[in-house]
Amino acid sequence: MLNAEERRRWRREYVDGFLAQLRLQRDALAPSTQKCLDQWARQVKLVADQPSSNFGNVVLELCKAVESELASGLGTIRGLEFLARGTLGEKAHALKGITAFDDATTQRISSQGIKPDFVKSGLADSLKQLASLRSDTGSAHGNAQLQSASPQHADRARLLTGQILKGIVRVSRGKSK
Amino acid sequence: MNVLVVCTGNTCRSPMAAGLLKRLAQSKGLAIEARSAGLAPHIGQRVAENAAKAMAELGIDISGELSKKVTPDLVRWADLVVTVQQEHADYFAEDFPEATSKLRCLQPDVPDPYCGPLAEYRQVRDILKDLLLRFIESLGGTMISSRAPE
Repeated sequence: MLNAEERRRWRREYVDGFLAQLRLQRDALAPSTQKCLDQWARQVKLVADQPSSNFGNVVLELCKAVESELASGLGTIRGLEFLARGTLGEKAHALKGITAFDDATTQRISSQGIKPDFVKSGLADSLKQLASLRSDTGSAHGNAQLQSASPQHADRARLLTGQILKGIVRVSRGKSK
Repeated sequence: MNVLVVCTGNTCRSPMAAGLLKRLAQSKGLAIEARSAGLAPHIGQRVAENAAKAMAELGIDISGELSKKVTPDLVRWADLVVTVQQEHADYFAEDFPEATSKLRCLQPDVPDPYCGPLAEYRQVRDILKDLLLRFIESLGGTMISSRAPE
């Protein structure tokens, strides 16, 4: 039995543990992303050891965290504004459509401490896979609950979110461990 | 009095508890209406087969119950919200802070029998029955208008 403060601490430690695996620190993430991850931990706590649960909201909060980080990081770079809007699938599709970044865009990405190679190659695939885990509710940044998701979906979403965050977090905003 | 019973998936514990509560209230001539819902359900899923079997042994039919999510409308409908786990009560209180005064936790941790054998469901059914009898006693009759037993 945990009181409100202990629950907040549990969530914070859970998120910090996740970020530590990625060698990221909390303050490297946008505040809105941190809030999404806090909500993710809250959903995890609810369904932990409850196999009859729908893990949809666990997946959804991870998707929101990725959307948030894209919107406040890469999506602010000229030429990559499409990453700040639309569904995860649309972002992946648009990114796939870019055959090569021009020098200026590459420079702008690099200047934020982000590897252009990941943005060009790995990001679109990871976004596409994450999008496929999310039952599309027709809402771009959907607040609606997912139809249905299993613990395996949640594990996969965690892995993909980790890969994405590790690749897109702006090092200049915080320190990488 | 309207009572909403809440668990996580709304396929085992809460539909069993709601079915039991209706039966117990009926046998005592108490005007209690019970419904159930989940905090993270697969919406529209049928109640677990063994839950329905365990309840059928007491002559209570919950086989037609489909899982539902806790919604603001359901919370407004309820005079009391009963949880079978402290975690549920805590989570509910964060989502519906305006309804915390309605919350009652039957026990900090009624085990989730999901996918377990029938014996496990029977065990949980019996735990719930005892807890609900105590719950009804705790209401003291002051909040429930009596009606003639059917």
